[in-house]
Amino acid sequence: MRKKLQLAFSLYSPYMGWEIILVIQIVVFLGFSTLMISNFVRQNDNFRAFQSLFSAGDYYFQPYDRFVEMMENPEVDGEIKAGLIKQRDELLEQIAPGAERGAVFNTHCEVNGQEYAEFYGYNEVLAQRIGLDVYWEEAAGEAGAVPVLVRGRLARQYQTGDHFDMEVGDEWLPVRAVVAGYLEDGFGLIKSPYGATRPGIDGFFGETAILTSDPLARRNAVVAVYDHPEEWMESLINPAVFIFSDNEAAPGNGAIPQDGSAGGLAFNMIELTNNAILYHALQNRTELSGTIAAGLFTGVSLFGYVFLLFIRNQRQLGVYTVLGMSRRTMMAVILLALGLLAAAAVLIYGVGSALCIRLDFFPSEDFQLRVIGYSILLVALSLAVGMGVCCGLIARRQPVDYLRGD
Amino acid sequence: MSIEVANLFKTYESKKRPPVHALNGLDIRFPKGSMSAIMGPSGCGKSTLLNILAGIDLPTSGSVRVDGQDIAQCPDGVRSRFRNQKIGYVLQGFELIESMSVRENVALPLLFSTQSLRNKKQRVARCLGKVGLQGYEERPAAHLSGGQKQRVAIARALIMEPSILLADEPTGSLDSRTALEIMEVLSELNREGRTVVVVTHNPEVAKLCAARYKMLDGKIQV
Repeated sequence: MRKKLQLAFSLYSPYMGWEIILVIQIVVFLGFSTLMISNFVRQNDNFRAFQSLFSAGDYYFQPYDRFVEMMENPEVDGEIKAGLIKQRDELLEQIAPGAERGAVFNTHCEVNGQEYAEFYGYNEVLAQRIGLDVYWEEAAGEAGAVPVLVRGRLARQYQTGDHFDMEVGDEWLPVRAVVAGYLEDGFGLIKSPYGATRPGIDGFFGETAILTSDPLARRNAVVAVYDHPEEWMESLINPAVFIFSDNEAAPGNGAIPQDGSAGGLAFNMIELTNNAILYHALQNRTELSGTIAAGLFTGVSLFGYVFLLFIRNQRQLGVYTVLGMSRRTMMAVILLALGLLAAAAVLIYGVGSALCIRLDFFPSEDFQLRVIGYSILLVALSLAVGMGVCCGLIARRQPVDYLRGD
Repeated sequence: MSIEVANLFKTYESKKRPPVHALNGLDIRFPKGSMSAIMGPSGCGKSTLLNILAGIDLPTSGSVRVDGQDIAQCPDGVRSRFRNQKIGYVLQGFELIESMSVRENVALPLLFSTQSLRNKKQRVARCLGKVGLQGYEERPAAHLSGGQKQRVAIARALIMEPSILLADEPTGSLDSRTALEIMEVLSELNREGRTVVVVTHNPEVAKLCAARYKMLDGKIQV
């Protein structure tokens, strides 16, 4: 191995200029593709996890846009407003039994007047549904403070049982919180990707949350505080009500409105999430295309470097073959020369990523092993193609061809 | 080690030009411990013959037997080992790696062998001593004169202690005094028992070899 290493190093350019450029390029590609792929994978995971909450009989109800217009425009005619509120109340009455079964909300908050965070609330039914039972037991015992689960930087900052003050929602409601447990990084079941209701509440809701906008109104709420709101924030588009129904409450039995007659539309959750996954993929196609383009560019560069290495050192390789280097050794040496550069790039990328996570430049869930694996696989694939062509060239040549420069 | 070449043909095919018949049924024998010169005009096939003898090119047909083994029929791995262990080849134009030191150049063949690098320094020093370049180990190859480069090339050919030494125009780019010194080194190596084959244009150089062969149109002239 020592001999092969010595030979591999002898193939690099005198000041390693090309090699350094290639390493930088691979590092940039790895970073870029990891962030892009991770965004895609994470969103996809969220959708899948979100979808797993529902059964075939679950529906999402979306009221008509007039309600939104009314909320956005305080100058709207009082009579219309009163009519709409009445319509909304009727609607909520109609859907309340379903809505009671599960509620979650999220809004923004400040922790100790400094940390801007995301604040999520669950009721007992939903918490159980998304597998928070363990935390629930812990949280239920606390009195005088809202039990919260923390994650990310906040999880590193606070121990279980620690108390801290929060101000929650648009009205900055003061809340005393106690840390009841931790959420693992990447726990993404809470997000509703479809829309939101005002003010500042995004997700799927019980009726009380809708009526009062008070995140703490739900009895037995357990809350989770996130320190990277940007991870979850999406545009707030529509008022939203998610209805958790029994499987028997299928469309057509009168339990759930299916058309405009009740002031909104009902969508089957499974179908809706399927469409959302597709929509999300289409929305991310620019990012994905960018990743593919960057991958291709890195591939071409790697491929080009193999040829550069081969052509620049042709005479040297010729001398080596005269002195006894076999084809197999030549392939191994070239692969080693490339592999060392790729390994250096992966190492730099690894150290850089660890540093970025430590300094909170990027959320740690962006650097999941499988995402990094995908990125490295892309580099390895480019390397393999380049080496394949290079091996083909080597196999066809006699040692004297290198000396002749053929 | 003796070399026997029988009915050797080498044709270079090209899509753009008509085929070139570099060797046309060549027969020749180099006995063990002999020192031979191959002469002839440019393009008569001298270097092609030497390349095939060294195992760095393959004949179109015919056989090249070294101690009975046909090297033209060997797989690449065996032929590479043969080049590394049995053949010392002094290439035309020295072909040193200019970015390396004299020591690194001379020690290169060790990197392709299964032998340990433990005695590398002593072996390099011994080979440089044989060609009269003691103390030049750390000099960059790029800083040497033509004669010194040729000596380093010979030292590199000797590091594996081969029994056959092939030299392609070893004095081609050297002045006559240096050329004679180089030939003296080759003669000394022949006296140690090595089979030496030299390709040259120079009749003065050829005179220093016990056997002289003339080539024309890819054949040995009788």
